[in-house]
Parts: sequence; structure tokens; C-alpha cells
Amino acid sequence: MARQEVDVCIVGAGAAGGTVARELARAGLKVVILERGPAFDPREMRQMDEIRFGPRAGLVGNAQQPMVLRATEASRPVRVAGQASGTGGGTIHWAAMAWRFHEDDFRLLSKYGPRPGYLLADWPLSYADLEPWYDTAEYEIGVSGVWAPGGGNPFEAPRRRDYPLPPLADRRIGLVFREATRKLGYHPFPVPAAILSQPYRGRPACTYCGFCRLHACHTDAKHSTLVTFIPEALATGNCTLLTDCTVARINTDLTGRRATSVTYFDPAGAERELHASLFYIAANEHENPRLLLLSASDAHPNGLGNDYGWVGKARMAHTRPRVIALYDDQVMNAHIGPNHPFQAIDDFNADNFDHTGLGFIRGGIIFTNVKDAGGPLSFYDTLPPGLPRWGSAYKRYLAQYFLRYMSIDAWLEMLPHEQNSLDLDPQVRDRFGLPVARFTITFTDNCRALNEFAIERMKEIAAATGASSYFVLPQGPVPTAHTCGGTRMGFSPEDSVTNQWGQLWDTPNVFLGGSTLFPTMSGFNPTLTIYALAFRTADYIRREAQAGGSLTRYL
Amino acid sequence: MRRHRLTRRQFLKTAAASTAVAGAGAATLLGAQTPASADHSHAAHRAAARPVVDHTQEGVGLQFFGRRQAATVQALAARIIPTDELGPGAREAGVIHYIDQALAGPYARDQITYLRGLAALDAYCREQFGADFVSLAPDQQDQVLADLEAGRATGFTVPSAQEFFTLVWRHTMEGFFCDPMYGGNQDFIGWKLVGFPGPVGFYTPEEMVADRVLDKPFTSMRDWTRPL
Repeated sequence: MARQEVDVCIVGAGAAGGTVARELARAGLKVVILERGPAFDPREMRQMDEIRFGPRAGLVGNAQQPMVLRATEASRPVRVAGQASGTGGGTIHWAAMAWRFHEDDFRLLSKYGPRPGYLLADWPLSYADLEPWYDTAEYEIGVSGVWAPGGGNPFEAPRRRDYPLPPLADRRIGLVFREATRKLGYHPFPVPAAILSQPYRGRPACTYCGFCRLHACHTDAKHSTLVTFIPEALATGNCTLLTDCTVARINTDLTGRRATSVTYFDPAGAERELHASLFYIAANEHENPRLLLLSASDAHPNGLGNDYGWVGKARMAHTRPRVIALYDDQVMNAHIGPNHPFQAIDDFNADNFDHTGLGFIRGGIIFTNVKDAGGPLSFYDTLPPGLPRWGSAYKRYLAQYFLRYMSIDAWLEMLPHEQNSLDLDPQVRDRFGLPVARFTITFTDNCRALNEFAIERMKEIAAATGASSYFVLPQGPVPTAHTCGGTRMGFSPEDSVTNQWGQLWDTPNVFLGGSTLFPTMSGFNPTLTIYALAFRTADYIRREAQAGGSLTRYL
Repeated sequence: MRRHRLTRRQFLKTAAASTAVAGAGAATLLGAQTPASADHSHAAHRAAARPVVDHTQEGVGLQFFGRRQAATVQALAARIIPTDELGPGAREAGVIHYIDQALAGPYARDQITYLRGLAALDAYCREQFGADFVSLAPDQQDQVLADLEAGRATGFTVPSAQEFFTLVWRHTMEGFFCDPMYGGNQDFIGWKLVGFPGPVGFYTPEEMVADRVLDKPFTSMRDWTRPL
């Protein structure tokens, strides 16, 4: 077959897509990125504005793809706006916590054995396999932190070297949290941040403006692929970025073993086809499995990569209890600085503590934080039970506590379970007439027991900080933060969708990227692991595309 | 003869120019107040001809609401964040202008909710107290608000009483805490209440760990914006 004009078609210009685009364009491959959202201009996004980016969801709400959520198969489904889209994807509005997983996070099945109803599995690669790529990602991004020998997390997985940049400056709520958790015998440390504490590779340091999460960074100190990897990919001359282009389908030849093109809708809504040799699908945590399901054919009647039924299965999300601590006579100024938790404890994550008699396995990270985006519009609905939400008493509450509160948060690991899955909605269609994703997810029994335990620990921490009072924020029944799984990696086609490289078993010129690859999710935010896997897969593609490699037959 | 019969316009012009007639006659014909002085200049008569209206009372400057609707929404907001011993509230902060402009623009989808909700609100108030919401005493308004919030207020269909209350509440708080460029939080009244200076852009490491209320200038995005 004659060489295609396009070597690699990348779907999605987010964390994974931006990374692979740069790496492969630098390697001399011809890359085209199809991004369904707009091409953001970072110079137009520097507004520090809680209205525009909070209730009006200026970034997160640029979601052109609705979806359906429900807790269980018996629950009422609700149609919601989907994920943010645009060049940079979720890396524009994120809070920028940049974690490595623990070693054992990659091997839950070996460690705990099978559990009925749960879909535990080991990753087909170990922490040791990924460590060099965590290192690459941290140094390419510019992550601010300190390793264990320097005072960081004593539970962290082994590292070859320290972080490239020192931690962000301390903030008041971090110091208070640190003192309280030390008093309780825990081991607080600075949370690693993809936010520059010092100038790095042409980007300035953070100015601690306080308009961080949900916003584009007004100085580019917070990392996004929009202001780094994507322009670097374009600068090679080997990469073309097509925005406002929604990919609807991956097409294969008649055997189904080779992808030939993607069908997409261009900015005017016209249906087009892009032919390429290799494909890297990083369309976000819902659209990845959806796209595979939409790509059913005679060769793959249940969807591409779905001959054994694993597409859309083993879906997970973090549950997130939060405790709000109020201080009658201490100023906390929680709204200052990045909306990034500066201090955390890993003592109750993974298997770092004794689970005897507790009735659950695993755990999560507990950290101090500001409420949501940090300004008054993130605080006005944060009320203790019994307080009226209007009138003079309410006004007095806001006046007294906006500067005198902090949030104690947790991200708690969810085990993959049969009840939590993604499929195509039978009724709701998007604007192209295609069925939208339907995500069925709720707390597992393990989640419920873990949440109860974590909330008690968080209340103890709140008390130890000297809080005058505290209250627990309610959680809804449908957790969706940091959704993972649905196109899991594995050791064989019978129980997974891809191999360790994110490569579809039966269609080897198609690779997937993003958190949908994760067989299990850990208690940590997923994004640095997404970056590490993307760097690793890009390196694999680059090597295998060279003379003698397994991918040359497609080029 | 035709030549001698003036048109009304000619008569008026002639009358206005005539010292003897202008005082009473012209004023009567034009239906306007007569200046007490004997200033019969052209400018004086133009001023006299204009009806005396206080535009600030008539709701001019609104983009969506009519005057009465705006007064009702402002009255609702003024019970949510009252003017009290802590200082100014939603009224002084101009919350009504935030909500009005939002409904005329990005929240246009909520217009119907307000129109139907305000109608149901006043119908309920008349049934309970014999007057529209704006005319009730503050404690009566508070009772109505509590009825809305609890879902006790009758006569609401879509929106329900609770849906209407929640929407007005959210919009009131947005208008109280928005950047002033959106029409609310005027004079930084909302931000001053809670001690939030807005987009100052940076804090020093010392300020980051300070256990005191910081002295930062109240700032709007307007202060950052260069002319286009």
C-alpha cells in the first residue's frame, strides 16, 4: 500500500493527545490532530472572573457533547452537558495535582485476589516500567514538589531523582493542616503541582493569584498542553491541528484488523474522512469508549476492540467527602494562592494503614483545600446544616467565615465493579444524530465503608486544627470526578481492550490514550499517569515505526 | 379669504412669538406647565413642552424587566441580603442590574421562569396579605420567602415555588458577588462584606501565610482591561 499522507491521526488535543502529537511530530512523523472543540488562544483567556468561569462555566461548559448519567440501571437517567473541549482539554481548567501512583496500585488482583462483583485486575505494566516516564513527564511539564529524602511523602513510590522544581510557597491553611496532622501522628507533605514555583523553560512562576481552578492561568505558570506541547508540536512543521472537528467513527478494512480512516464532522457540519496509517484515540474519559462502540462493523459487531465485551466495563470515579472547618477567631485566607491543596497525607491511602476489622480495602488521599474555585461564589452555598440561606443571619455567616474557613478534602479510590459501566444511550442523540454516552455509576459497598471511615478521620483533623465547628458536605449518588476505565489495559484480549501500550488487540494500528486505559484507579488524581503513559506509548510508536519495527507495515 | 386663515401651526408660531398670548394660551394648547417667570425664549418653551418625568423612577436603564418586575426582583433580593447593621445589601449592590442584564443575555433561557414565577408570587401575596410583594412589610415578605423556600406557597406550577426561590437566590448571590463589570457588586459592596479583594493578580509568600485580614485594594477586571 502506498504511504499515506498522514502517518498518525490523533483524536483529542488534551493531555495525552498533546503529548503524543509533540513526541511523534518531533520524531519526523506527519501528524494530524482532530479536536472537536475550538482552538483557544491563551492570550484571550487571562480573565480572573468567577462569574465567567464559575457559574457560567466558561471553560468547563464549552461542552459540545451531551451525555446521560444515572446511578444504577433502576435510576432515573439525567441528561447533562459533557466534558470541556478545546485545545488543551482538561489541562486548562484543572487544579494541577501531579501524582505518581504507588507500586501496589498497579497490582490489585495479585495483592487482594478476586472479590465477587468487583473486576479487580493487575495493570500489564509495573510501576518500575512506568517510572522513567513519570520522570520524563515531571521534567517536561515542570512539576513543583519535593521527594521523600527531602521531606516529601514517606509513602511515595521510589524515584530516581527529586522533582525539577521546589514546592510552591506555603499557605496558611497548609501550615495549619500540617501542624494538626503531625499532632495526630500522620505525615503531611507538599502536594506535587504542575504549577511552576520558579520560572522554567520560558514560562514564569505562579503569582498565587487565587483564580486557578476552572480558569486558564493568567501567566501560563499552571501547565496545560495548550501553552506547551501543542505549540511545540506545531512548531516542528510536521503537525496539523484541525479544530471544531468531531470524530464520529473509526473505519477499518473488511477484515477489521486494520483501521483505515476516521469519519469526522468539520466545522460546518459536513461529514469528512481522514485517512491515516496509525491512530491515537485520546478523546476524554467518556468519548473513548463511546467512539469504539460507535465504530461497530460487520467485522466487529459490538464495537471496535469490543469482541470480548470489555469496552465500557470496569468504570470508576473518585468519591470525594469534604469537611468544612470554621474558625471564629483565626483568619485562614483560604482563597489565596492556587486552588491546589498544598498539604496532604498519604497515611490513609492504598494499603498504607492497617485495615484489620474495617470492612473495606484501599483508601485515598486527605488534604486541605479551598472550596471549589475559591472566591465568594464558591463559598456562598457552603452552609452548615440549620443555617438559613438568606437574611441577616446568612449575611453575617458569609461576612464572618469567608476568610475564616478551610476545606478538608479526600479523593477515595473506587474499585472497578460490574454495576458501573458505560454504553450508548438508547434514546438521546447528539447534534449529529449519534447516540450519546450513558454512564451508570454509583458507590460500591467498598466505597460506602471507606467513605464512613475517611470522614471520621477528616473530622478528627478538623478538630485538631482548632476549628470552632465543622460540618460534612453531602455527596450525590453519581460520582464522576476523575472517571477512569472503560477501555482497560490487560494481558490478553479475553479480559481487556488494549495491551500495555494502549494498542487494540485486534486492530494494532489503533492506540488509545487517557484514563480509560486504567484497569484500577488508585487514590490519586490520574493526570500525571495519563502523561506518563502517553510519553511511553509515543516512544513505543516512534521505535516501532522505524525500520524493522512492527508498525512499519502500516506506514 | 383663505390667505387670512392660519393653519394651527402658523397660529402657534405666531402665538408663541407674541408677548401677549404666549404666557397662558400657548401653555394651555401644549398642555405643559407654565414657567412662573416671563422667560419666553425658544429654549424655555422647549423645556416647558417636555413632560416632567424622573427617569430614575421609571425603570429606564433596564434591559429585560419592566419597572414593576424589576422592583419585585429587587425586593426579593433585598430580603435575601438585607440592608442591616452589617451595612449595605443587595439593593445597594445593584443586584437587580446583574439579574436584569443576565436575563437579557446569557441567561435568556430563564426569562420565562421569572415571568411566570413573579406572576405566581404576586398572586400568592395578594391571596395571603392583600397586596403585591413590593407593597408588603419586610416581615410579611420574609414569610412569603419562607413559604417559597419550603414549597408551601400555592399557585405555582412551572416553575415550582422552590425552583423559583432557588433560581432567584442563586442569581441574587451571583449579582452580589460578581465582578462589578457585570452590573452587581457595585462599589464592591459584596466583596467588602466578606473581605475578598477580587483579581488583584498576585500575593506574596508572606501574605500567603499571614493570619490576618490582608489590606489589598478592591479590584475589578475593568482595572486590568486595556481599551480595545
